[in-house]
Amino acid sequence: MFNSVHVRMTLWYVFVFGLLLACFSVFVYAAISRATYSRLDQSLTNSTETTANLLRSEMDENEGDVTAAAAETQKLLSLGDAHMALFQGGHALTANDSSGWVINVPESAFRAAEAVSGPSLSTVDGFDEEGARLAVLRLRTGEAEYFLALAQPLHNTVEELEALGRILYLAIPGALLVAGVGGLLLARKSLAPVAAMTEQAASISARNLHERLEVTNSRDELGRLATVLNNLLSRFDHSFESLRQFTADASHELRTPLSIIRGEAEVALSQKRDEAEYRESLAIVQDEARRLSRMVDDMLALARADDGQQRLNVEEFYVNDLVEECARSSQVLALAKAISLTVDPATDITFRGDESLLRRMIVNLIDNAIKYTPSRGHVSVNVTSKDSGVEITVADTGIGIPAEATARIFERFYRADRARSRTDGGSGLGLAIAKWVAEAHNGSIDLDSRPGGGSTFTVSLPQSKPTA
Amino acid sequence: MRILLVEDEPRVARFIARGLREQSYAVDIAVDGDAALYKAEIDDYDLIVLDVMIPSRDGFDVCRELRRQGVTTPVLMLTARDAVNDRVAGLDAGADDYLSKPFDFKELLARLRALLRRRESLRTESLRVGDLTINTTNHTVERSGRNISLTAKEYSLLEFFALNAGKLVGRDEIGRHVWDENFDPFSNVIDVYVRRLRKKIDEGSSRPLIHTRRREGYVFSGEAKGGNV
Repeated sequence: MFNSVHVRMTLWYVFVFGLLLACFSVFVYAAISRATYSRLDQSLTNSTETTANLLRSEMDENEGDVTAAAAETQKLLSLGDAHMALFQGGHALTANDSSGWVINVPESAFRAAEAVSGPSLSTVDGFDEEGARLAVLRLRTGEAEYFLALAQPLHNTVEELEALGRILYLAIPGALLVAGVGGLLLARKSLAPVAAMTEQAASISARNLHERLEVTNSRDELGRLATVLNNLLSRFDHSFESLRQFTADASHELRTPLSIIRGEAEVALSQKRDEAEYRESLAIVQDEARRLSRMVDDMLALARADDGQQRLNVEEFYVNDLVEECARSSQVLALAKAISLTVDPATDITFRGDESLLRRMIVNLIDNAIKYTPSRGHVSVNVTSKDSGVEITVADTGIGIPAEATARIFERFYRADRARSRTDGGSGLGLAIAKWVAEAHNGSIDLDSRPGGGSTFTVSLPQSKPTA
Repeated sequence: MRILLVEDEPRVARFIARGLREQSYAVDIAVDGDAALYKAEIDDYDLIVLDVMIPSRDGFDVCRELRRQGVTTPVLMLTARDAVNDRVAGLDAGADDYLSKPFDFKELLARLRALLRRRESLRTESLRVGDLTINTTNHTVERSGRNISLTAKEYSLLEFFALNAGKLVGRDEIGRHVWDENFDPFSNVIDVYVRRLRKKIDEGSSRPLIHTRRREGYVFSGEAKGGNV
């Protein structure tokens, strides 16, 4: 349950809201309580002064009979639930009122009243357990000194504040409950597109990678998330598609020599033949087995390259010597097709790189050029030193490559012309390997070609520290 | 039985054609889709072995086009692609069977025989005409308990006769189904083979099976005087 985002969101929401509500309640309670007490004090002060004025005029009327004046004042005055008493020298002069309750004025209250000109306020016990608010005022008539005390029981005020407290106590959980339910609904509603997206995404697998998530509003957060996921899916789809294509191509390329080996052998063995026929069949089997092992070697080399396992064995060597050596080894192939293979003379150029990988690259390029050049054609290899590094070009007068194929020619097993494929014994990986070798040396390989106008492969290798 | 083999890989075509010829089939080879359609149009094949990945138009395309033209010749698709989708696409394009490379040559032969049986009203592996029995699986021929040894071409001719027993078959028909595209229709090679075959199966028998119809062709029948033709 706590693993659900909307539940967690709601809990956080309720927690924060509850905290806020509690702070607010405490503040409200404190403010109201303070206002209530200050209003009570104000009205007690006013009442005390009014009572004092009345008492003075009653004393005048009763010609100094204080007790009578006080009784008269008590009678005349409407003090609500407040009580009044008059003291002289610590003794009450008035009979306590009908309730029979005695205002218990502590000594300290008299002392406090002596110190100020107006009524002095304090809280005292009495009446009931809530206590009372007491105002004491010193009166002087001639030589005589009296203390007028007014007591306001606090139970009403306390009850009011308690009622407020009860309301707050009940209101907070209620409000939290409402907030929680509302928050849950809100979270669920705002997360509903996420749930829908989850469901859609869950239904997408390798089989239906072309499907995309629905984007309702591409500008909100969820729309952006869906767009990002869709882009991710597109990339996956593309790499799955290339992988599928590669697997199909690889299986086709591997199965062809395999079926020739199996079929040729089976048919040859199906009946007795003379030696020449057996020889012919065995030659085909041998040739196809060689082609198969070359292909497996190339595939392994590329697989290691993909894994990043192939480390460059960097050393310094003369790149012009390497090119001449490669051309010499391919000379047999060129002679067989009556193609002239020439290397433009070059001065000594040193280069730091993996010599055996670069040899493989150059041989692949030369063999490729010979393969796609008709008899009596020409293949020329050139190596030059540039400011940036070394440039090797392999140019032929061959059949050329159509423009739409030039971009794909370095792909594994890609054949520009399927009709000519396979019969020439290539693995279909030579140019892919050449490209990888060039890139492993931080270099690049470019192709300039027109159908019928020959092709020129240019390898640029920078003279810097290569990385594997 | 004449077979059209559509395969662009020369070495694959080589061993398949060789193996099939040694099994007495007449084999023509087409190296791309267009050539295959052209040959299928001008010749009457008993069976087509079709590679999928061929230049110009792929095997699926060729198969669909053949079926669209109303060609009902059984097609066996042969390919290095063996994904389920490829097999489904091949069969949906109108192929009758599907075999993926590499394969056992024996299996290819068995599948071809099965397809041929399906086409002819031949449901068992042996053909019987009069007292002559032909086993179409191991190509043995027997007449009245006597084994007759035949060359591949002779067997092929006999099998063709037996499949058309009781019917008049012309020389051009024999040429189209027993010989391949290198057959010269103006030569007397058919007459030569018929003579050899007659010598092997009819010699010493009071009831000949091969009957010549002057200028028309031959009737192969176990009944006297060439049946009711």
